[in-house]
Amino acid sequence: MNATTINAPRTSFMRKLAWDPLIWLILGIVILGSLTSPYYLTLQNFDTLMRSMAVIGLLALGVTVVLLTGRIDLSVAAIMIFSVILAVVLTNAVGEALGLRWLVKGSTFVGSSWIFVALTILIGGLAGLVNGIGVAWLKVSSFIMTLVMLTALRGGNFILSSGRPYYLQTPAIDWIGTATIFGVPFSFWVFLAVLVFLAWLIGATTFGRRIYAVGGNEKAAAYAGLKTDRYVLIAFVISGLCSAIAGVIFTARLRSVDAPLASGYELTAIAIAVIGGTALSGGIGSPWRTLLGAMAFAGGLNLLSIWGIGTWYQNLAVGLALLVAVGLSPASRQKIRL
Amino acid sequence: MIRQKLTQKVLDLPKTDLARVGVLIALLLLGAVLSPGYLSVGNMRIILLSVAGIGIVAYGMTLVVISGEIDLSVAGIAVLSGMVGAALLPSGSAVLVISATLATGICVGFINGILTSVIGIPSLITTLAMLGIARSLANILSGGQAAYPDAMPEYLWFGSGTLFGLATPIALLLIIGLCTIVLTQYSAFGRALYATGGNSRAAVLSGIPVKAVKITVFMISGFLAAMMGMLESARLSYINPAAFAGVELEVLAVTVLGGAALAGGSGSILGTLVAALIIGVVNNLLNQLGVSIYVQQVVTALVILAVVLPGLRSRIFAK
Amino acid sequence: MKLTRRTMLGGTAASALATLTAPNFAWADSHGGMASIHTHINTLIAQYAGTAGDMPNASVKALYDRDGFRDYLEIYPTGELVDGFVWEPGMGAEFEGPYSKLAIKAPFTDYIPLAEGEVLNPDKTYRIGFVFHGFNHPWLVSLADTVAWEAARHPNIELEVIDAEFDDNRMGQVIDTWITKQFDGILLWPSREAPMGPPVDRAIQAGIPVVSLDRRTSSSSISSEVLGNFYANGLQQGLYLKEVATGGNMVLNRKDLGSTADSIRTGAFLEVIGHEAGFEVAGNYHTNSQRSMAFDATADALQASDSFDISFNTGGEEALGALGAIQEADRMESGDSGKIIILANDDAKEILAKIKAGEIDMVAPYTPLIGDIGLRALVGHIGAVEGMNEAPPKLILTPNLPMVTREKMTIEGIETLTPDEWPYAYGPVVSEA
Repeated sequence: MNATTINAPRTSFMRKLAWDPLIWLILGIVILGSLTSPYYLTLQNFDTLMRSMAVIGLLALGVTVVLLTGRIDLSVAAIMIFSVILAVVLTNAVGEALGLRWLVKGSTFVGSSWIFVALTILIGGLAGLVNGIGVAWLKVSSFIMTLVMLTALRGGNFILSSGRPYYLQTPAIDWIGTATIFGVPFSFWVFLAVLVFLAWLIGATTFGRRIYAVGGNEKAAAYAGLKTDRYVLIAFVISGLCSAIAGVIFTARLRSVDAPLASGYELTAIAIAVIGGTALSGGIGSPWRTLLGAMAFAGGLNLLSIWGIGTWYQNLAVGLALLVAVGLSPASRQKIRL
Repeated sequence: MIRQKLTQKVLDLPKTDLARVGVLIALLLLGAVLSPGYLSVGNMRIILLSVAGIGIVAYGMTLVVISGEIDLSVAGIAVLSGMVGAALLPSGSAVLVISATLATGICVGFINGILTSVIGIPSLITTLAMLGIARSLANILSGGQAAYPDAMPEYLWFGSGTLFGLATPIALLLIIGLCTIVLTQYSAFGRALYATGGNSRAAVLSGIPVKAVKITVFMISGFLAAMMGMLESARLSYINPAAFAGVELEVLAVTVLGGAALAGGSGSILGTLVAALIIGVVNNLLNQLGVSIYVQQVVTALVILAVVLPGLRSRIFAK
Repeated sequence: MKLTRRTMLGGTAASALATLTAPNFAWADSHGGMASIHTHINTLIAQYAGTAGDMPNASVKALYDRDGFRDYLEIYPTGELVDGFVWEPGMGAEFEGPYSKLAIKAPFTDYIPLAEGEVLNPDKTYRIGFVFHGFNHPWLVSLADTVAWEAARHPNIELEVIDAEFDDNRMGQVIDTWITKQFDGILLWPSREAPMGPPVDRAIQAGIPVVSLDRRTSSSSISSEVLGNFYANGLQQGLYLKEVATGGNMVLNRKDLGSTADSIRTGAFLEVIGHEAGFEVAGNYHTNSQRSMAFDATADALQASDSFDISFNTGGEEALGALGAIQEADRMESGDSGKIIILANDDAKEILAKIKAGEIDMVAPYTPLIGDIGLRALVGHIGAVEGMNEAPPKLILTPNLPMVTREKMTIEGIETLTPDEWPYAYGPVVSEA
C-alpha cells in the first residue's frame, strides 16, 4: 500500500521537495547560522560539518534499508568499530604469514591498507549476514538479535584489542582521513557514492520495489510468491557494509581505533533515519530522505556548537526535534513491528 | 477457596517459566560444584542485591512490553527523578525528597503514555527521545553534578536498610514482584493488559480502554524506574546524573529472556524475575571464576540469544 | 610566528617563563641541600624500574608480563619540575569552586605563577576553550573548578567549558569547532590517548596552542602536557604494602584496560611488591572507576575465597566500592594479618574520612586541582605566539605527593602525612550516616 505512494510521484520530485518541511528547516539553519556567526559560512566549518555528516549519514543509510523491511538494527555502531579492530588483527596475521611486521611499537598498524580496508568491509558484511540469518531464518526478533550483536561485539572489541588502542599509520589511511577533492572531504564523497548507489538500488530496481513490498505488507508479499527472508537478509548485509565503510572513514579521521569508540551512535543513526521520515513500521522512507535527515541533524548540532551551546542543551534539542519530526508526520505514527 | 485458586494458578504456570526455573537451578548447582560455599546465604544475598535494581525496572518493562509497547527511557527517568529529589535534599525533608523522586518518575511515564497512545508516536521513538530529554534535563537541573544523600537516613534505607529482615532492595524486589504478579494474573487490569497487547483492535471493540491501559503501564514503568534509581543511589550514597548508561538495553534483555515477546500480549513477571536471577547468577559465577567483564558481556549476549532462539526454545522449553 | 614557537618547543625543557615567573626565594632558600619529596620519590621510581626485570614473585611477574606494563612504564615521563619548583605541604590558594561550590585548597597555585589581572595584551580578550568529560564526577568537576578559578582571575580571558560526555569523537568535533572559531587557546582533559591526537594536531597546525591536563594525547606536536604523578601513586601503594605485610592474597580493582591510570599505577605497584615472594594475585578485575562494579567484583571475590587479605584499588571510587562490599560481608577482620588491607588512590574527602576511621589503610593522593597550572601554561603559550614571552616547556610534571596514612610513618625515606595534615582533599564532605 505504501510502496506505490513512494515510487509513483518521481516526476513531481522537485515540487514535493519544495514542500518538504525538512528542506525549509535546513535552509533556516543555514540562514540563521550565516546571520548570527561570522564563522558559520567558512570552508573550515563546512569541512567539519561534512565529515561528521559522512559517518552518521552512512550508519543512518544502513539503518534506513533495514527499517524499510520493517526491522530494526541496533548493532551498526558496534559493527563499525568491531570490523576495524578485527581487520587490524587479521591483517596483522596476514602480515605475519608473509613474514612481515605490520604491527610495530606494540600497537601501531603500518601494514597493507588495501588488505585492511577490504577485510574491514568484508567483516562488516559478514556481521550483517549473521544478523540477517538470525532475523530472517532463525526468526529471532530483529531488536533482540541486533541487541545481542551489539553487546557481544562491544565485549569482543575489548577482548580482541586487550583494551589498547591500535594506531593506524599508513599513508593511505592518512589520506582517507584528511584528503579533500574539489574542496569536499573524501569521506563525504564516499557517503555520497553510497547514497547514490542505494538510492538507485532502492528507488529504481525490482530489488528495491520488493524491499518496500516486504516492509509495506510482508504477508501479502509472501503470498505473492516473494522470498521475503532473502530481502531481509540482504538488507542486514547492506547495513553491515555501510557500518564497515563508516568505520574506515571514522577511524581514518582519528588515525586510531579504540574499543569503546562511538558508543550509543546506533540511537543517533535511528534518529536520523526517523527524522528523515523513514517509518519504523517499514515500507516508508528512502535514502534521499535520510540525506535530508542527516543534513538537518548534523546542521542543527553544528549551529548549536558554533553558538557555543553545551552538549546538554544539544541533547535536549535532539530529543525534542525527534518528537516533533515524528509527531508531525502521520506516516510514521503507526504500529511498529519489532 | 483463595488458596485453592492460588494452587491452581501455580500449577497453570507457563511451562516455559518452569523451564527457566530449571535453568536457574542447574546454574546454581554448577556454581556449587565449581565454587565451594556458592549456595551460602551470603552469596545468595549478593546475587539478589546485584539484580534487585534491574529486576524492579524489568517488572515495569515487562508490563509495557505485554501491552505491545517498549520503554527505552528508564535510565533517563531514573536520573531525572534522582536529580529532582537531589534538588530538594537541602529541605531536609525525607518525605518530600522521596515522594518527589517517585512522582517525577510517574509524571514522565504519564507523558510517555500520552505521546504514545494519544498522539500516536511509536513508543520506540517517544521513549528514545525521552531518554535524551530526561538525561539532559537531569544535567541542566543539577549543573551536571552529583549529590550526596548521606545526611538522610530515610533515603539511605532504600539501599542499605532492612525490611522484614531482608535487605531493603531484596525485600522490594520480592514485594513489588508479588504486587505485579497479582496485578497481571489476578486482576481485571491484567486481563485488559494482555488483551491490549494481544490484539489492540479486538480489545477496543470489546470495550477495553486501550489508551488508559497503555498510559497506566508507562506510569508504572516510570515509577519503578525512579524506584530503581533511588535504590541504587541510596546504596552508593551518591546521586549521579550520568548514571545508568545503557541500562535500558540490559533491562530489555532481562525482559525478553523472561519470555516477554516484543510483539506484545505475552510475558510474565515471574519469568522476568527468574531471568534477572539467571543473569545475576551467571555474572556472579563468572566473577568468582575470575572471568573479565568483557568476556562476561559476550557470554551474557550468547545466553540471551540461546534462550530466545525460537528453534532452541522449542527444544529446551517446549516440553 | 609558527616557526618561532616550534623552535621554542624544541628548545630546552628548562626554558623559563621569563616574563611570568617570579621565583619564590623564601622556600627556595629553606631547601638548600635537602632532596625534596618529589626528587626522592623519583629516585625510588628509578630504583624499582631498574630491578623490574628480575622479580622473584612468579604470580606478580606473570601478571606484570601478561599486561605488558613495562611498555607503558618505560615511556611515562618522570623528571624535574619547571623552574626548579619545590613543593611543600601547606602551599597553595584557598577559594570556592566555581562549579562545585565547595571549599577548595589547591596545592599548586604557585607553580608556574601568573599574577592576578589582565594577561598579555590588556586590550585584547583571549578566548580559551576547555573541553573535558564528566561534570558529575567529583574528581573531574574539581579539575574544572581550578581551570575556571584561574580564568576568573584574569578579566580579559573568556572561557568556554564543554562537557563531551565521554565521547572522544565529540571532543574532537568540539576542538574542530574552536579551530573554526579561531580560539586563542585550547585546554583539554583527554579520556583516551589515541583518538585525541589528530584533533590536537589540527589545532596546532592552525596556530592554536593546546595544553592537555592529567592524561595524555597521542599528539607529538601538542604545546604542553601537564602530567599527574601516576607513577608515584602505584609505587607508594606498593611501598606501603611491603612495609606492613610480607604476603597475602590480593584482589585488584583496576581501571579500564589500556588507560594510563591503570597501566602506570598497577604497573608501578607490581614493580614494588614483585620483590616479595609472599604476595599472590588472587583476583584481577577491571571495574572501570565505577563504585558499583568494584562493589560487585569484591563481593564476588570475597565469596570465592576465605583468604582475602589485600584489596588494591587503582582509584578512590573503586576503594569505596571494595570497602562497602567488605563491610557488607562483615569480613573487615578476616585478613591474614587481621584487618583486610585496603589501598587507594585519589584523595577525595570521603576517602580521607575512611582513613581517619581506620577503614582504608592508605591513599596515594592524586589531586585534580591542577587545572590552574594548565591554564597558566596555556597563557604562556599564547604569549609566545604573540611574541611576548618564551614558551613554557612541553612537559610540565606536577610534584610527586607523599602518601596519606592514619598514623605518621616513614617508609623508605618517605614521610607519610596524616589526614589532618592534608588540606587539599577534594570533593564533598561526606558524613557517616
